[in-house]
Amino acid sequence: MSSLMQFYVTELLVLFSVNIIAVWALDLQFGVTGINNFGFIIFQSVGAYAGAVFTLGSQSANGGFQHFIGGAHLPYPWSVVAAGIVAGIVAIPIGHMGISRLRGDYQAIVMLVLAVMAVNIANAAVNIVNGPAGLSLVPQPLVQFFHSSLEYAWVYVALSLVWALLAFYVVRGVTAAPLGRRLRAIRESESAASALGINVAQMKMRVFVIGAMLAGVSGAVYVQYLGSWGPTSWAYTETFVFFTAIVVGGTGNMLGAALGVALVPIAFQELTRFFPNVGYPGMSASLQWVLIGILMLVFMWFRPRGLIPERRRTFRGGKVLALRKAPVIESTSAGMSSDG
Amino acid sequence: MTASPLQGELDDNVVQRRSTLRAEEQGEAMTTSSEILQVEALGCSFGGIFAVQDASFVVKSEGITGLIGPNGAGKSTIISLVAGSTRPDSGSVRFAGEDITGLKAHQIARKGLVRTFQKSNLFARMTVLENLLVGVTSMKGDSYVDALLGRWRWQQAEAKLVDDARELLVRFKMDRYEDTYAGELSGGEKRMVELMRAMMAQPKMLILDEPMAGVNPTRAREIGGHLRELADEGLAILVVEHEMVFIEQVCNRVIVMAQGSVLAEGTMAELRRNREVIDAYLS
Repeated sequence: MSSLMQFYVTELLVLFSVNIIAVWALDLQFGVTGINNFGFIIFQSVGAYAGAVFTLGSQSANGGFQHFIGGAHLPYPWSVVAAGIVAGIVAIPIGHMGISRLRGDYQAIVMLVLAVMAVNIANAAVNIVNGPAGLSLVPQPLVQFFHSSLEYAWVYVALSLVWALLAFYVVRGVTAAPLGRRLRAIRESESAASALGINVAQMKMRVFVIGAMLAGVSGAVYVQYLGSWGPTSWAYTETFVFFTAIVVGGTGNMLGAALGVALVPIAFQELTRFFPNVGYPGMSASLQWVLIGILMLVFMWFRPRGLIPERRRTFRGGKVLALRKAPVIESTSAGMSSDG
Repeated sequence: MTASPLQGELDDNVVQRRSTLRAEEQGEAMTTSSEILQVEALGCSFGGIFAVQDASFVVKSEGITGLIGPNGAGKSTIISLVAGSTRPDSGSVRFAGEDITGLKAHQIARKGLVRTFQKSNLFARMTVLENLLVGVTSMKGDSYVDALLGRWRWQQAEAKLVDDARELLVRFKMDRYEDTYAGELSGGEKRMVELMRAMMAQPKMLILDEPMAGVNPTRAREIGGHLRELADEGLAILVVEHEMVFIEQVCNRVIVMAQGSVLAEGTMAELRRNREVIDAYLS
């Protein structure tokens, strides 16, 4: 492989890791618990800003051309961990506003509005994270230990994959445990869940915060690779790329979400790069958004559970052997919402 | 009243049933059975219109209590008020000697008062066995610490609960549906799963909102039989039901509601002699 090709591959792999952390986090909220977090990008962005601020040092560094609050020089893994924690803290008031007391459509509306507001605030309040110019010259972690940039690119792939593994461990741990069953129960029927003693508001709030923390981690991993982050990096529409990845891959299924990431943010967005330039400059970029929308609609209509649907959870073993099991009927046409 | 599919069985049993009811009633009078639920002067209005007004009644810790009344009498509202889905404007609810007025639904459920819904409310995209397991109010592995520490923290506890759930499935003759998605069951089967799911919570008292709605007569008799069995094992049950035959057959006591308040309480035989009740409902 030529070194240029290797750079391209490493970029895709980092992009894959960053996106998969985010998509697993969103799937835990949306696919498993049924929270319509249309403002998910806020938390990835908060993590990215925090990940930048925690490595940039004080405002006066680099000639003091950037204005931001809370600059620090945290050593490597801690800058990412701290970014996750900041995103989690930001999620608490937002969750109280938009998630714990609201259901379905209302959550979606409130979160979408908050996402639009958040970009505007980041733009307008220049002293928080340097306004429209955004933050740049974010130092790459551990870069001083490596001689060639290609070598470092592969090291960063490994680092981001480690973070993705951590996200896998968290989301898998939650969904496989009895806790995950309770979250799915909330998705299916909040009233029935609370009638069985589940504190629905609290459970939704916790999932929201955990998801936000993972989103923050993904943002920090991303910004430390890119080296810069600004309001143009996170339009509210970015959330829909994640949603499309989940809907295409399969809601509530981690493998499905991974497939969705490979197909939508990676393959789909990369392929459109090779399209011939038609019309005015930037038209193919706009068409890309149209295509993502169409992709989502097509899947919602014809394969609402995605390519790899949520798997049926059965229990083997135990002292009472159920021998008279009814034939299992697979229904894929049941639509997004449950019928109960 | 129109002839019901249950009528046939009733005709054979009614005389015997009534006599046993009377015997039970006399027995109760002697042992002074305790009251598990005490509802006092409960009131709730929506936009100035009273759905429930000054409603008071008690439910005994033994047997099945029926809650009947014409449409709009406030039966479902009373259930919501007692179970915490709606906050009452006035009055008090005591459960097992404890004031539970204004507690949230999940808090009340955790105290052992579990309700079902008029419209079947299962977790449709979860299997029957999973539905049952969600019923367990508290178990190892339902906290983030347990979940993140890994399988070994909760696996054994879960295996035991799976056994419990399977025993319940066998008892209710639903074991062949263990791995079926709850959304794919028939109306009657859904009712059975709701009942089993509530039982997994090991409640002290069950409130069932029209458990026979949309259920065929055979299944209705089956559910009635199960309820009787559970009551005989010491579970207090309050049932809202329209089907008078069912009420006659399985309820020890009946509460009659009309226009948001309680009109009368007693055995069905007593209520049949009550002029007010006849005028309001039974005529």
